[in-house]
Amino acid sequence: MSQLHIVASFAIVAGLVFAPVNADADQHRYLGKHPIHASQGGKFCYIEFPHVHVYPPSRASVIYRKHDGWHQFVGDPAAHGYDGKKHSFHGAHPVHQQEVVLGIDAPSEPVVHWCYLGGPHFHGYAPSATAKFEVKGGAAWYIGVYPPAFDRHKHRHVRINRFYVKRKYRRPVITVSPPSVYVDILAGGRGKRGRIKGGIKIKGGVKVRVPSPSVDIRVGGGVRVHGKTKIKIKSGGHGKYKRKHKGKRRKHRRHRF
Amino acid sequence: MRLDRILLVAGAITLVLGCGDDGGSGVSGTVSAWKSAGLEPTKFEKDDGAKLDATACHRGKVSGIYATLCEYKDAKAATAAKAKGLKSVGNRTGISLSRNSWLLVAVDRDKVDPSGRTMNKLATAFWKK
Repeated sequence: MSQLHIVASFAIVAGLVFAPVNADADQHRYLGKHPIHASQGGKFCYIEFPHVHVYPPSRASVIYRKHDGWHQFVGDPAAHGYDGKKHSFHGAHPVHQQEVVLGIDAPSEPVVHWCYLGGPHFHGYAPSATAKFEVKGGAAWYIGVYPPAFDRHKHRHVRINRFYVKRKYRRPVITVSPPSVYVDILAGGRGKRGRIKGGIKIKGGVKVRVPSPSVDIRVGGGVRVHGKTKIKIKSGGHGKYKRKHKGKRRKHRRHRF
Repeated sequence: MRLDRILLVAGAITLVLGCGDDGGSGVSGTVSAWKSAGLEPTKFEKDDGAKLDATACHRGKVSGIYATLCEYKDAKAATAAKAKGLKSVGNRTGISLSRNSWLLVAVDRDKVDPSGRTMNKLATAFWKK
């Protein structure tokens, strides 16, 4: 071993031993209100501003979005014992960080997260004033455009629905039909699959009048269960889904013969 | 003669606003806003501003939460000091919030506010003041 290697090794060891202890090493950064980790009592934190705690977010990859080291809760607060002001939503929608978190510096580009919760759900903030929402039946329905990023991250973020299916809590009750221009994108809008992977089963006495067939949902065939009503979805199979379907058929035939 | 009077009045106004800690918009104004929000602030004492790169700091407690209010030469300097303020929170629940040329660092050292409602009230009063 050369002298240079020995000196370098000493320098690394000394650096590790004498490195200053970072006072904020155990800080976990949050943006706005969020559920409290079960190890800390498991209730709800009502701070609407950027703040720090000593505990990490629970189920961070499912019910939070991380941006620049800050965690923002994007789930349904009602499922976590939240007793503050609630706003009803139906289906996926944008969440404008600047509008739901107080006291943050205006970013050069607005930070927009997407809520992938299907069906009726609550948030602790009102629908964004800058996004296209229609309020009907006491709930906000997003009727704007979904960017390509929504589809790109859909597979990862729709897991949030499986998380809430397992929890018993009161969701908003919506008894009206959706706005005429509303497309339930998680239920198969934009020519994608007809259901969320893992399926959304909305429980807990929710009365949801299912979108009438007049809503143009063109997806890859099959029957999807939404609430307690079965909707037959038109088969408009094309593109990726169709190819996959054909492949499966061929595979099946090969097994049979 | 008339111009002299105007200048005299303008000078007096400048003197009144320039003197004191903040002319109502800083420490005393924030403490009043906290009181109006139903919080109970203690007396705020002068503190070393150098720790947070401020021109001046005041320290006290608000309904059991430790709060430090610091003044900076401008809003940019106050915003830049937020990271240092957050670091000073250490391993506790806390906030570091800037508003114009002021910075508020609040820390729940005694764990008196597990739900964060008091901290939120404190921050909101400072933010909307």
